[in-house]
Amino acid sequence: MRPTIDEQLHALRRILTEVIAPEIVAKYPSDILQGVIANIGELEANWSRWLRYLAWDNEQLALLLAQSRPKVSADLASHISDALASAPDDAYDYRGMCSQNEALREGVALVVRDARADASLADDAQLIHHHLAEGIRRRL
Amino acid sequence: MGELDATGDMIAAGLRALITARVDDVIDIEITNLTRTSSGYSRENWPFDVSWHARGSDTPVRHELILRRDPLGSVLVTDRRVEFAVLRALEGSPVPAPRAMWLDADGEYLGRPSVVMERCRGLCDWFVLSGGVSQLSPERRLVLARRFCELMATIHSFDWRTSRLDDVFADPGTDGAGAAIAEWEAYLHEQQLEAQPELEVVLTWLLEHKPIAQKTVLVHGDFKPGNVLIDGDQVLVMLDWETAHLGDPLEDIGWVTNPLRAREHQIPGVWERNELCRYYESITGCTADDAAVHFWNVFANFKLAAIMLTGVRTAVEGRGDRLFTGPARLLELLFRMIEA
Repeated sequence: MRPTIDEQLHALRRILTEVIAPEIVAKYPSDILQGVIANIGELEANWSRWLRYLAWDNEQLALLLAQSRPKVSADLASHISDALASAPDDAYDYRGMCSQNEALREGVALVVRDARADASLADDAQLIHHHLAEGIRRRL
Repeated sequence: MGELDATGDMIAAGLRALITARVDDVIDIEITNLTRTSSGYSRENWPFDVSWHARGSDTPVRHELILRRDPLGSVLVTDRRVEFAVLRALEGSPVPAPRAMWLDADGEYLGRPSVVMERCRGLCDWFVLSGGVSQLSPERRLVLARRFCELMATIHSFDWRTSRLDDVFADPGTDGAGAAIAEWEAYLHEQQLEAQPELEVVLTWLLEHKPIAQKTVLVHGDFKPGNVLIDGDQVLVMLDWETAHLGDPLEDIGWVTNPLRAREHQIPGVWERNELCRYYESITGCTADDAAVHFWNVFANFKLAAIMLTGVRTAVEGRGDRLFTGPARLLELLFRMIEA
């Protein structure tokens, strides 16, 4: 599969840096181009970790929401059920995993918000906090 | 007009129309040296020179001005009417701020909401306290750091009641923290493309740790060397009033003592959090309580995260020229701060 995604991103960054950037004299587009080059570098460095991260995050968020579901309001329980059911059939379906991640993250955000007024959700909010902290660590 | 690629000619035509509408009996308007600068992530900045004659007069009127125009997509959504009102209120006060010239509130002339203001002399040096382009001696850096603090104290002592700024902003009384949380929580929920559970955790912490404000002052909201024009170790003018509001004075102190931005605001070993807070206390009589300042540090980063997510939204929606990729590092810092 050559060029690989890594190779393509690397080539794009090199072309922008060596061919395009020296020809841009105006300050504003030149600054913007430097930002684009940096963005591509970041993408090149990190994209290959995303699928694994999403799989882990979705699995953990689903476990947390399943634990909270019996204690939350009927509306939120229904939202959680929908989110849990939205897992893609194909484990390599990146877009499907992103979509489920969005639904699961919305679910845990709502649990955290409800926990502000509902002491019975305090432990759930604490577990979610720990998971989110670990998620941040893995994303960096 | 109004698309991503507004040209200088379009802006110049808009400025001529705006000036014609705002200045009586104006003829021979000439716009020169108009260029878009890359400074500023929230507004388009277009410095320019203008001259005109009043009908029947041979004496030309000349101004060096800057147009601040809303971009199609910004990292920060604010109202030019409010910025204009604040600048007008500050005119003639001890707070050094640019003179506001004209407002195009709805973009009738310039395509998008815009403010034209006086272009002030001076150097914008974001990292002057850690060297920057000025490379001042350590002694002069400390002098300047104290002057920045004095400038903040001058802003906080501004008589907003007499200037009727309470017609523009609500006075939150002792609950400046609650008002700030409510405003930025609403802003976050409006701007986020997806739920941000990490920031919901931070919001819970903020709500549980709200300090009581000692008084209500005019808060700048984005106080930093990058928003001050200087000449050596002299402070000339404070810029960028778009997030100004009435609130707790410690909100600005929390902004400048934010550990994330120590390089902008502090001088290692000489002018750090403690020195800054004690000096502010000595010149204002306010107490910069550690817990309250810590709350405002956390709030500062929550606000920055909401601003970054606005940048993500504008990029994804094709309205911005910069791609922001999310506040993961900021979230890591925020979690460390609330777990401390």
